[in-house]
Parts: sequence; C-alpha cells; structure tokens
Amino acid sequence: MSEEDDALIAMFIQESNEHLETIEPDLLILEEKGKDTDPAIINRMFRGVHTIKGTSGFFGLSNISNLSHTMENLLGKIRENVIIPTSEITDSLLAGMDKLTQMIGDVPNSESIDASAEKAVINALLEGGGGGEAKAKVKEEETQAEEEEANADEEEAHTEEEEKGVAVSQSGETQLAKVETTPQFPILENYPDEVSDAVHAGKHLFVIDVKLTGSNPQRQNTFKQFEQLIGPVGTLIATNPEINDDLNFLSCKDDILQILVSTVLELDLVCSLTELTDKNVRQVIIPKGFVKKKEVEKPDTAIEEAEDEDSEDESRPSKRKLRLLNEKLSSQANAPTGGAIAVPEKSTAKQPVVEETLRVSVSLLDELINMAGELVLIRNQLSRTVSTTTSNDPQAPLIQSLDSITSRIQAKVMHARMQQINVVFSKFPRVVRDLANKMKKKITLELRGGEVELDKSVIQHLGDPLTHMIRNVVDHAIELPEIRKAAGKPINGQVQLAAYHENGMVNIAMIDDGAGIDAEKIKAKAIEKGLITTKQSENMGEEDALALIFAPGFSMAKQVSDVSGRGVGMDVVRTNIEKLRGSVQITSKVGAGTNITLKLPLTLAIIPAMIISVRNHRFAIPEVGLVKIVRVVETELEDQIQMVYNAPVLRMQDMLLPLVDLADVLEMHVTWPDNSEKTERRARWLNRQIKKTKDSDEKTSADKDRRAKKNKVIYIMVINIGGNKFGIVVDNVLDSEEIVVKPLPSYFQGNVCFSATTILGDGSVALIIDYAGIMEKAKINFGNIEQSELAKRQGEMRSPLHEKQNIIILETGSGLRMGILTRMVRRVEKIRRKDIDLINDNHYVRYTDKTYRIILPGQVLGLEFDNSLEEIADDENKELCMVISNIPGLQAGLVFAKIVDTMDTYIDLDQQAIQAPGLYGSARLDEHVVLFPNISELFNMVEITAPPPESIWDGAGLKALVVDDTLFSRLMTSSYLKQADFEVTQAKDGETALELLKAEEFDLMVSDLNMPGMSGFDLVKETRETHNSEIPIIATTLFSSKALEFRCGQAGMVGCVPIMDKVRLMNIVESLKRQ
Amino acid sequence: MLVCTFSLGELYLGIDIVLVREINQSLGYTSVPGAPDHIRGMLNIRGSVITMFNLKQRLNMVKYEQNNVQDNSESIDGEDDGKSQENKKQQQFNIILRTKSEVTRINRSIAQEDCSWDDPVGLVVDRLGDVQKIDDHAIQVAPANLQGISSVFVRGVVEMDNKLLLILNVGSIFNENDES
Repeated sequence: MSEEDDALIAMFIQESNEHLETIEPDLLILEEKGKDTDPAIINRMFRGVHTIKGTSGFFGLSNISNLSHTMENLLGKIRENVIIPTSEITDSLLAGMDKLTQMIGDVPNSESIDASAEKAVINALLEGGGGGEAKAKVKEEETQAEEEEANADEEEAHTEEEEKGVAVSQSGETQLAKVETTPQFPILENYPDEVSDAVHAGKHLFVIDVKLTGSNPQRQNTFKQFEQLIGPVGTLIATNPEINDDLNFLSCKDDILQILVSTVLELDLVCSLTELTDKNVRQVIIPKGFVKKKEVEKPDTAIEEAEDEDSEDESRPSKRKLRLLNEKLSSQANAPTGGAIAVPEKSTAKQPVVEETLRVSVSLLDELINMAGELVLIRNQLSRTVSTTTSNDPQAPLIQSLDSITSRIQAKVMHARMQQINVVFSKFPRVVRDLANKMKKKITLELRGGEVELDKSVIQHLGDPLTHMIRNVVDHAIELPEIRKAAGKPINGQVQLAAYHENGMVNIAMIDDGAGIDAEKIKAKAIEKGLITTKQSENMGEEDALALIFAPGFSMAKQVSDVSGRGVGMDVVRTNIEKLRGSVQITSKVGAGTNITLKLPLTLAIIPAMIISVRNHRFAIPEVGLVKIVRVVETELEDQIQMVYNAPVLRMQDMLLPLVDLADVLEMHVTWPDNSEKTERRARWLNRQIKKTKDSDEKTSADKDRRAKKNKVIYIMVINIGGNKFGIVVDNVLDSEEIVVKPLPSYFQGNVCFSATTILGDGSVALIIDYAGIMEKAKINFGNIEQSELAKRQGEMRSPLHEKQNIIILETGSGLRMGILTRMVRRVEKIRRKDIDLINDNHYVRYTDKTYRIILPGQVLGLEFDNSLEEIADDENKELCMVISNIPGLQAGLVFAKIVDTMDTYIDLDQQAIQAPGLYGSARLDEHVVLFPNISELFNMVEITAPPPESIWDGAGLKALVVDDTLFSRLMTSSYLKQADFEVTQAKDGETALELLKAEEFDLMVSDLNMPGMSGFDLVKETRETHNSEIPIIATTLFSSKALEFRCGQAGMVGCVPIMDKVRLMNIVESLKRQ
Repeated sequence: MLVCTFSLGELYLGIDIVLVREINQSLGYTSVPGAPDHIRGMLNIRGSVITMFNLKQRLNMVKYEQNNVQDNSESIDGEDDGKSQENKKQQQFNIILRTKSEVTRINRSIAQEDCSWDDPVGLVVDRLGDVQKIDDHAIQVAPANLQGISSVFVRGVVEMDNKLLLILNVGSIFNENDES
C-alpha cells in the first residue's frame, strides 16, 4: 500500500468515525421517536452511512461497503416511510453500526470480519417490511450463512492442521485427559488476584457455558464473538478447558467451553446480554475469607497502579495467557481468508496512522512531565545567570527562545494527560438504552459537560463507579412506566449526567426523577443489619442516613433492592471515588428523585495557584476558590479588622469575614503552652498586631521618613469554600504560577492543612494549602459569625448603640466593676502597693523613669468604699493595675485591683440608675453592673490637667451641635467641646440634627459618619440646604482611613477624626478658630 | 552483600546497596510545619518529591551526643539560610532510597523483607563511607542497646577493621510505629 493510500485511508477512517459517532445517538433518537423522528435526523444517518459506503467502495473494502449498503437500504426505506422504525429495526441498525465501527477500527483486517449475521437481520427486515416473519427468516439465513462459512472454514482448518501436523492433535488429547480429571471448574485458588480484584470492584463471577460447534476456526469465531460481547462489561478470567496458544477449541467436553467471567452485571443481565438461559450461566459464589483483606489503598498508589497496569499485567500469568490468546485470535483473523481484495500479508498489514489512535503509556507521559519540569528549572537558572552578567547579553535572545519553547513543551506535555470526560460518558447512552429495554423501562439520559477535562488517571477510574451508578439508576431508581404514570410523572424517566467545575473540583452529578430513597427505611435497614443502633438512628439526619447506603455492610445485603433503593455496590462507588481523593454526596426526595454528586479533584492536573509566603516559608494556594486578595497596611489593621467572639474578622462590604492567620494554623512560631488556649490565639494575634502597630505608630510619628519604609503590609486571601467565605492572612504574595500537583508523601497525610505538594520555579518543593483543612484546623465556626451578625442587626433595631466598643473591665478592691474604653487607655501597667508614695496627700508612683500621679476611682467618685489604697491591696506586695489614660501630656493613672476582662461589646448605657460626677453611667455586662467613669473628668475633679491648658480651646459663646447615634461617643465628644466652653447641643441621629439645624444657628457641627437612617454624608448634604450651610463640619468615625478622610474632604467637611480622639478633634477646632 | 556505609557522628552505619538509588549533597529542604522532628523536610529530585528523614533524630541520637554535634538543620525557606553554619560544618549528604517498586524490579525478596515504604524517601547523614562487601555470615545479632540506639533499628553488626559496622533495619526507620 503506498503512502498516499495510507494517508487517504487514514482520512477515511477519521471521517467514518465521525459519522459513526453521530449515527449512534441519532439511532437512539430514532428508536425513541419512531416515525415522528425529524426527517433531518434520518437524512443525516442516511448520508453518513452512504458516505461510508461510497468511500469504502472506492478503497475496495467490500465488506464495509456491503454492510453499509444494506444499512443504507433500510435507512432509505425508513426515510421514504415505507418501513416504520421499530425497536427491532433500530436494534438491527445498532448491531450493524457496531460491526461497522469494528471494521473501520481495523481496516486492514476488515475483510475478514464476519458481518453476515447483521446483514441477514437487516435484509430480513427489509424484505418483511419490518413484519413479524423477519425473525424466522433471520434464523434461517443465519444458519445458512454459518453453514457456508463452516464449509469455508473447514477447508481452512484442513490446511492448518496439515501445517501443524501431529502436534495439534497430541495437545488436544492431553487436554482432553486433563479435563476429565479436573474437579469442578473453576478453582478460584488458581486466580486469587483476579478474584480479589473482582470482589473489590464489586463484580460478580460467572461461569458461562458457551456452546461451540463446527470446525476449529468456526469455534474460534464463536469464542471471539463471545469475547466481544462480554468485553465491554466484564473481563474473561479463565476458560475450561484451558485454551492454549494453539487456540484449539476442539478439546471442549460436549462441545461446551466454560468461561469464567467477572462483571458488574447481575445474573439476569448477563443472561439477557449473552442471550443464554440461566442454565448456562452460573454465578460463582466466592467463599468468605477467600478474598485477602486488602489494605486501604492510598490514592496515589491507586493512580500509580493504573499507570503500571501494563507491567503488572505481565506478572499475572493467567491474564497474560488470555491476552496472548486474544492476540493470537486477531492475528489469525489477519490471515487472508479470501475475498474481493487482496489483503496484504500480516507483516505489512499496518494500520494507517490516525492521530487519535496513537497510544502512549501514561508512565511515559509522566516521565516527560518530570523532565519538562526539570527543563524549566534549568531554564530558570540559566536565565538568571545571563541576566545577572550584563543587561545587553548577546545570548539574551537565545535564552528568550529557549524560554518560550520550554514553556510550550511543558504546557503541551501536561495537556497530553488530560482527557475529556466524554471518553467515559459516551458509552452510557447505549448502556442505559440496553438496560432499560431489558427492564422494560423508558429512560432518557441527558449528558452534559462532556467536554470537561480530567486527568487520564482519574478518567480511567471513573468508568466502573459510574457504570455502577447508572446501572443502579436504571435498575432501582426509575420506576416502571405504569408506576410512573400512576404517580403522575412522565413515562420516560429522566436521568441527567452532568460534569462541571466547582471550587477546583470536577463535579459529576447524576440526577434522576425516580422513586427516591426513603431515609427512614434506610435507617431501619441499617439497624437490622447492625450497622447503627436505634439510638444513633434517632439522632441521625437525613443526609447521614442516606450516606448509609455507602456503608460496606449495607450494600452487601441481598434484599437492599426492596428498600425502595439503590445500594448494590454503592460502597464500591464510594471507595473508588475516595481512592481518587474525591467524595460522594447524596440527596434524595422520596417520590421525586435522587441526586448523587461525585466531587473529584483534578489530581495530577495542573492548577493555577498563588505562591505566598508566611514566616519566609512558601506555600501554594490554589486559585480556584480564591475570591480576591486584600492588602492591608499594618497601620490600618486596627481600623479594618475587628474582633467577634474572640476571632478576628475583616469588615468587607456588608459582611464580616472570619480571618485565619496561616502561621498560627500551621503552628509555625512559638508553640503555645496549652491547647486550651487555642481559642484565644487568634485574639492574641490581633492584639499583637495591633500592639505592633501602636508601637510603630509611636515610633514613626517621631520619624516620618522611616514610617514610609516601615509601612508593612499583610495580605488576606479571601477564600470561598462551598459558599462560606473566610480570609487567610499571609505575609506576602509572591507569584502566580501554574503548578503541577504532586501527591503528598504519606508521612504528612495526617496534616489536614495540606492537600498535596508541588515543585516551584526554582526547583524547591512547596506544600499546597487545603482550604477545607485550614478551616477545620482553625475551627472557624460560620454559625457564630452569623449569629453575631444577627445579634448586631437586632441590636440596631433595639437601640442606636450599634457600634461595638472594646472595653477593659477592671475591678476595684471591693469587687466593683468599672469599664474603660480601650481607646482612652494608653496602657495598663502592673505596680505594687509598696511602689506607691504618698506626697502631700496625693499618691505617686515611679514607673519607667517617670512619676505618675495616681488616683483611686472610688475615692474620686466619692464612694463609701474603695477610697483608700489599703482597701484595694491588703498586702503591700500585691500587684495592682494602673490604667494610664491616653490624654497627652497627662502623667496620671487610675488604680484598680485587677483586670477582669477585655471585650468587644455593645454598651447599653444607663444614665439614670447611677449618677455621679465623673461617671457616664452604668451598664449590665455578663450579669454584673459595670460603671463607666469619665476619665478626663475624673482627673479634672482632682485637678490633674494636662500641660497644654484647655483655655486655648476657647469656645466660649459658640454653639456646637454633636450628632452621634452612639450615646457613649456622643457624650464624650460633647464633653470635650464643653471643656472648651462650647455650648453643646446633642442630636441622636441625622434627622433630629437636621431639625435643629433648621431651627437654630450653630457655629460648629461634629457628626458621626456611620448612623442608621441618615448617614453623616447625607446630613452634610442636607445641611447645605439650611441656613447653616456655611457651618464647619467635623466628621467622627470608628474606622479612620486616608480614603475616608479624602471622602470627607470632598464632601466639604473640615476634618475627619477617630471617635473620642480628643487631641485631633480639638486641634481641628483650634485651627478653625484661628481662621 | 554490598553495603553502602556512612557515618552519623561517631557511629558507623550501613545499608544494603540495593536499597540505595542515589546519593547527593545537601540541598535545600522544604520543611513541613507540624511534621515530627525526625523529618527534615522534602526535597525535589528530578521532579519527584522525596521525604527526607533526619537519621540522627530518628535514631534518637541527638540527646546522646548533644554536646558533640549541633544539628545544622536548615531550610531554604527558613529565615536562617544556614550559610553561617555551612562554613563551620561540612555539608551533610542525602541518601535517596529506591521505592518498593523499584527494589522489586531488582530483587523481589529484598523488597518484601526490607522495604516498608511506598513513597520516595531519603536519609540525611553526616559523612559517606566506602561500599563494603560483607559476608552474610559475618553479620551478628545486635546487642539490645548500642550507643543509645534502639535495637529496633539495627539488623545486625559486623566487625570491620576494629570498627563496628551497624547494618540498619531500614524498614523500621520509615515505619512511624517503631519508636526508639
């Protein structure tokens, strides 16, 4: 055959395959719709078959051309409406199509493939016009054809036997003898591996008696046909008598060949498939204990196994024998049998090169991937050395080309491993059709997402579980048409098989509208089987109950199918999927259907990932599920991150995003002394960060140049996992790379934080972060956050005090609790009573080179107790707490016995119950009454004042309006202004303020920005419409930032200060006054 | 049998050469947070990720000779790049072992007896020695406790040139259940 012909034939094969691919689904439509089939579809099939006929005729492939001619005739009749398509007709066409596919898949040997049976069936239908007599005729013709062939074969056999001489008959004799002495076939002990494999894969073993008649070649043919029949659904393990390489089938006892087969099908299905009665098909019972307890395979080894399949095969003698047998058969089939064209000899009977059929072993691909990876590393190193020498290196262009080629090689090699899921899906329409027909059910299968790509190793292992699932759906889930009709459902059961990407996984969902699974019945069954106790079942949710069908013991139960449900082999499905590191989820509604979703990772695939660093260790974070990256300057940390239930959260748009510090979760720094402290860890982390910020703030305010450099940033990777969002805090984001996922060494598999490893551009290994694991480890409870959000909203409804305050709760000597806002505190120091000196009736303490005046809050407030040091500390060595306020220049502190707690909370301030000068009011917190002292007023009362006298903030005769929904901050702001002699009017919200602004004239307005109803910005806008339009406005805010300040400036405000920042507020007031 | 020998501090050790795939000099290890102390980290050898065991830690030798040798664990990612220590102390060696399937291809019985690991693993050792040919009969049963090493890790001892060569029971080193 010339090269040109080869190329032409290759084209023919490709083209024909394309046609055949469309014909199969079209035939299924034809079957479904019958005479209502869209003529366009029939035309398409007709054209397809016609083209195949024409082209094969051109190449002299008479066998293909004859069969397609026959099929074309039938299709033509259907097209002309002479024959009405019945399932019989589609059956025959499908059979013909299968044969065509087989022949086109093996063009050089197509002439020797027997298609007479298919042709006979179709011809009979043609002649009978689709009538009932067709069958009888078929039989007749079949036998006729067989006889004819038998004659031809006998002749052949003669020559063969002559060639082989006596050897054949001798071997035949010895085997005959062997058969007689062999005990009951099969002896499972002879095939331990196969049997174990079959059991683990949830397959059944059958011995099938195949009747062989006629001459040896004829028997070979029958055997081959049987093998083709069973091949797609099962595996041939052994035969009795054993067939040797000489393919002598003559030795069979009573002309019966016993074949041991493993398949997922059950007895009745095997019978109907092989068209044998159950007399000829016997299920082999595998004795308990026969199967070795197989260790739970690790996923990566499972994959490896698949890759090594070829080599492993060699080590299994019986399997190899059978394969040799098959090879032998096909090579014999290659031998010329005489025909219209001269088929080339075996040695030259090479298949013309068709790209799609090129087979490369996976291990070779893996090696290539590894080597391509190495190439990339070398390239990286090379380009580094070149770029470091000179910028104008003549070698630079070379490096550049090397660079691009290397990348392309890597990309292509990687891609070579990927396969479309269609590879698995495409066989199901046929499986469903065949099974449904046999069960007298009507089922429509819809496939979606066939183009989704998965790694070959994953694809390979998908076939079995999916077949299980499909079979279960057809067998158990979809009801018989009558039942469906009675239930008011469409007669055709709908089964949907869909693949799609989600969160870096590939999901394969199988949705049916069948009977569904009754969780209660499952529970009852599980109790009966002893899998769960009655008590367990009571507490068991529906989802957990449904998951029971995956329990190993459960599916083994024979009667499972009468529990309205699936089940047979479902544990195998789960085991297989879990081997691929996937998971199975099931939801079901009785009467409405079931949804089983397989979640599969793209293991071994390439994934895009962000390379991040924490404490100088690099990790990869998969980009799937990564929503965005938030960059936070450490100085702004405090404003953007809050604490909720001791967990740091990032305020993002309308939600609070729980944060996890990666270094903390991975325990990458100081190990914490006690596990019980874990919950506090995150809180401490934030405090630490804030403290750092404060420290650096203090430092940097002195040296502004350094500040720019020290503006450290942290990054928050915002992750969305199954609808739950959270943030992972990392030190730095380095790069975005396409990484190759490599399995995690088994030694680290106990660590839930990592899913796999990868190799980075510089050749070092990096761990890939597992979001779910991080969430688990960090114990993020989304419920809590939601609750707090809810509480927050309710709080807003109840009172305007919706802004959380961080307070320190302290206790005086008598156990009275006082709360001080953290914002007003510079720090809290530990002192001893003996450190305190009494000078002029005033207490002083020396602390870090400075002398502080200290006051006892009880004394100042005029309480009957807590007014002497002795009452606070009975022992002079006892430690006391000194709270130093952040009023600048004020060297004074308040002394308490101890710190009780710090908390973020909403303060429901009561100004009525306890009233005293120097006291804002009281509130109930944690079942205790807490007093809230006004620190600056307390100091004022004992005439402790800061060096810059307040007199310069002289607001005498000026009117100020303070607007704040938070009572606390409103009081504070007011008190600052009052101290500067402003006449202060307070308004609790924007609306009230506006009323006041319309009625009166003010000289200054200080307004909160964040208020319910009218916001600060709205208020400013409205103010411009009143006669107070020229009023200077200062904004206060809980979270101050540059951006916010800018916005305030744009809105025409004179400044924006953090709430209760007296100094900044008064500085702005002062600057206004000067103007 | 042929034994690949090496030293660990003062200890002279050896393993069957069939188990050894290759030997190289210390490169950067990627440490794994939360991993036990005796796992030094991971190493990339031509595209495959090797788990490196710090043999000294694994044999619990650190306590034994704390005073003599300071472990120069360094990680490429770590803040300490180890350069200062590199000068002080000679570099360690990585003995990369064959995986079970690789050994199986060479010698099935050795694979079944000695190979308990499926993942690619390696050992970090101080110095390399020669390859020694050892008569199987010369291997004696190890005493219960050898210079602080649990007998679990020792398959046998051989007297060689006034030195005691310990043949390691490699399988137990990678079996996390075998505690020293």
